[in-house]
Amino acid sequence: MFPAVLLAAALDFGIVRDAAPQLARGFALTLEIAVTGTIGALAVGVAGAAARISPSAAARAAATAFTEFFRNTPPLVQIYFLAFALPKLPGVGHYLILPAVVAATLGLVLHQGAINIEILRAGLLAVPEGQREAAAALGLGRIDQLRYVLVPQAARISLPALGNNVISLFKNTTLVASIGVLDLFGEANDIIAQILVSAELFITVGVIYVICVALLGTAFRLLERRLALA
Amino acid sequence: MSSYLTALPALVRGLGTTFAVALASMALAVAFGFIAGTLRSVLPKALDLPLLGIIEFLRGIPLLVLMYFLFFGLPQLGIHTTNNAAAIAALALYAGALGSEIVRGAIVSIPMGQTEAAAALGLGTFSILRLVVIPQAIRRMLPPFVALFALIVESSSLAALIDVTDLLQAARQNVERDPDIALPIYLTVLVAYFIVNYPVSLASQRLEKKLA
Repeated sequence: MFPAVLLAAALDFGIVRDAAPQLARGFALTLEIAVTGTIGALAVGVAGAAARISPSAAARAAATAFTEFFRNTPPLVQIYFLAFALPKLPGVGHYLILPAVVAATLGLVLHQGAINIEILRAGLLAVPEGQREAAAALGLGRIDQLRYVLVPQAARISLPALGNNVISLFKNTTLVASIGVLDLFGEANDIIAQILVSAELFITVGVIYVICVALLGTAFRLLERRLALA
Repeated sequence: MSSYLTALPALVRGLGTTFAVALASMALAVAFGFIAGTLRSVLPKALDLPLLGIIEFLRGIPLLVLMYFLFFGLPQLGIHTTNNAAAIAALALYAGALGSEIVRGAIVSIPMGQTEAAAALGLGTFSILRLVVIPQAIRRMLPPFVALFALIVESSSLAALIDVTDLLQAARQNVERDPDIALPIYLTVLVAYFIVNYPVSLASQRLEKKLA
């Protein structure tokens, strides 16, 4: 977009070198939030998908309502709700004052978890009905049918979409900075507020995220190839 | 509670801004998506590579980082924007990159025989796309583009963080004035986004089933 000369003249990446230790601290927290969030979202996805195929109509309805609400509302607003609205709940609010990093991670878990429920449910439905019937004919109970026959196949079908959701969660970790959490993006903004120079830091941070996303994408493609049933 | 009621008109105005930002971003994203996606489906590999690089970059960078760069970073390079323009530009670039994948995917999904038949009738590359391939591909683009709009509405909430007075920002301003109304205000905002986005998601799913 801009002539390289103009960019080089206007930008001073020496700033980034001075900021490196602080950015590294932020990046460690970003990874921590991403890993915790991914595990949490996967747990929500598995529990929710199980509820959505359960024989109990109430469990199915509750899981469907959860899925539709949390995937059709912005994760940023969910984070704001958990951080600022939950503590105002009459009676129990003062027990619900969460540290910012917990509220932020929980917001990501709810949104990305709701998407996981939908992905895993679709994966289970995509396994041909004959597989379940064959498993039942072999005398497997409902749980064993899921464990040995349906889930292993559904997991493979769901893997590309789950991978995309992990990447989306990773990118959304930047939202935690909006409530004062010092992740990579939060630290970058903190430095910018002190030195009042921003382009170099946003470019650096942006490139770090793009590289991580590319690495995650490659890792998931390799995993898919490894797990593929030839 | 009365303070909650006095905040409602501001929330409604904020929702209006959210719609305006989302619609402008969507229009630009569709245009960008069509141009980039069509180009990517016809360009030879060597020329396609830089375009692919730009699109992968836009898909990989977190939207918030892109938005902050456009709003806070660009002035340093002598390019000044308003907060609304920066928000719309960031959303349009991000959604446009996703849109280009939708367009390219739909175009390459049309069987080669269609292109070959049109070429045999003497049509040029541009006419083949315009008269034969794109009209068929549009049906396949519709459900993902509708879903993309829901994603844009949802993602437009990030504009509040660069002071665009959208729905979330209206809520933030009112909660700042009176923290005691945080619960009803943020609940209202969540429900408002849900009421907008749920029918859009449903429409996308219905279309997908209908066109499948």
